[in-house]
Amino acid sequence: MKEVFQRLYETYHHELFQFLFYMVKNREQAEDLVQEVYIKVLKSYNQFEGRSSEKTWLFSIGRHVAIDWFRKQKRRNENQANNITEEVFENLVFDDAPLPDEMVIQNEEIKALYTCMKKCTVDQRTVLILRYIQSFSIKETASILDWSESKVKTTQHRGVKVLQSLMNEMMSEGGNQDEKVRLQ
Amino acid sequence: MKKSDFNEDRIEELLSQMPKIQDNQDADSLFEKINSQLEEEERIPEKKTVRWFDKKYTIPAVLSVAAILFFALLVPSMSNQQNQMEMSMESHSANEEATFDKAEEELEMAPKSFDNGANTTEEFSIAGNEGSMGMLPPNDESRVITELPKGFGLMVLAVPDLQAQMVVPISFLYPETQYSVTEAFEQATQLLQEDEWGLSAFMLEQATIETEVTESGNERVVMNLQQNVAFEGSAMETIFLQTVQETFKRLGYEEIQFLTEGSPGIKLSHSGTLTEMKLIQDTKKPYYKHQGITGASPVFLVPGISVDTIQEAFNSMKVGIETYGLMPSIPAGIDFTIQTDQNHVIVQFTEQSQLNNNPEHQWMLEAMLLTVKEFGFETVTFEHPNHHIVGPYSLNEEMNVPIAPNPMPFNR
Repeated sequence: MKEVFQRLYETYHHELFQFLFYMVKNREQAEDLVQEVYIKVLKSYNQFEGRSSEKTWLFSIGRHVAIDWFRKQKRRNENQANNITEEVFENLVFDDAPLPDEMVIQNEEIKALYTCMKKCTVDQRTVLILRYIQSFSIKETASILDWSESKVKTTQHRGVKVLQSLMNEMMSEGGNQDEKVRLQ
Repeated sequence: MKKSDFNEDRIEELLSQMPKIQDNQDADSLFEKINSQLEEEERIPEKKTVRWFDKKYTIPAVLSVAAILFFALLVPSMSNQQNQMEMSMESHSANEEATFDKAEEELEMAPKSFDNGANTTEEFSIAGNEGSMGMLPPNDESRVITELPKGFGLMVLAVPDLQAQMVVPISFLYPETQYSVTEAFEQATQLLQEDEWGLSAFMLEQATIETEVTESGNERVVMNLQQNVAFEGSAMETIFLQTVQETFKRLGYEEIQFLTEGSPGIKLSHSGTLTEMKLIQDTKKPYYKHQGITGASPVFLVPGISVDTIQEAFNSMKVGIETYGLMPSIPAGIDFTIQTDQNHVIVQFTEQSQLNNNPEHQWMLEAMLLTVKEFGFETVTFEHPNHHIVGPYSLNEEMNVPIAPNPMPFNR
């Protein structure tokens, strides 16, 4: 088992971690989730049929682990406050977190974009991360998400559109001061 | 502060410039953590698993095997006796049997098709448990959900057609133990494949919903929309309102309340600010056939424009509304009379109306069932002097109206 792990780690670990990090936007959380991904992978490695590539299989498990985490967080929050909306939840999860070290040194536009990404739906965010940050092709992304290629394209386009309008709003004159503060 | 103008290319460029993130955990320590968790997980289920060779189960198991052997010896002699009896009966009434057989064959087809439906739902739920891995499309031609299986909830999303002239209600059955209404709405939204289904984008994609009980004890939906959802022009507004009605009217809520980013009301350019709306079940709309991309996308059953009477509705279903891309759901050559009695409708097809066991005629019956429901009726009997079966439906028997149109699997 260690050999399998060793090989997967050497081949994919940093990409997988980066994907989870951008999904949940929190280093500690991404560290926990990456463990969970390996556990799932090692437990079902014998069943891997090679229908998709090993890499897309690994990422599709990564995505499911991230989505499960979102769900659990939301339930936990719902138990605490019954009327919490998803938006409030996302703000609770993400807004209080300080920008990670890697982001602090970036220029204003990158920082703003990082903040805006949380306003996309989870699916839009997933597609944007896979396509632009991880550089997967449309075909690979479709395979990871188990979607059609056309659904990947439309979701990607909608995601970019959402970011475009948020970025214009945030970076233009008279942009929301709260948003600015959040970037400090 | 500079005036900014981000176009799509610039956004894409910035996305690809997002910094690389490295994990600081090294392989060995990570493997240790994973390995100890794996070992722990392996220990726990072992306590629960009962193995056939566990001591306390050995004696009952041996006894069961003995019992099975005993019956195995007994059964053939019993069935032999029965065979003999049957044979003697058969010789008495060979002619009678022949005619019965045909009728039975026809009747048997109906439960078989229903079984298929049940299997499909079961498979959906299993696939759902595994987190939407594996695709299981509906295996029959049915365009309705006939009843709500135990443990399942109904979610409907109404999606505009390609010309955005009317909306197509798409239905999902979701396991209630795993999804709240809020989550089911969110998940169903992600399952829409508008391009492949020949439809436009769902208008409430960015919306989130919650449900609550009002002061008067009714349940209502509270929908929160994002600021950047804009509805320009009265045509888009009409489609938006239709989307809301057709999405929520079958879910058992009486009204819907609108919020924009948490504050009451939505702004509509034509009708001003709208804070709430009643959800009306019986909108008296006839159902037609619709296919967004001819020959390529699925055929859906789609409600059209409200009419006054059920007779008017059926007449309109024979012709369709061409400008809206709504095709006749009742094919040419089919004639019938209708009788209504409180909550029940009887549709009597004329002897000349040739009914076939094909999707076209199955969809006709389903469109009629959906339409009848729109007028508040609860049960229907289709009658034909010669035909007994159309798809999964037995004619000449009372049936309930369906709960929703156009089912799609709740997984990818």
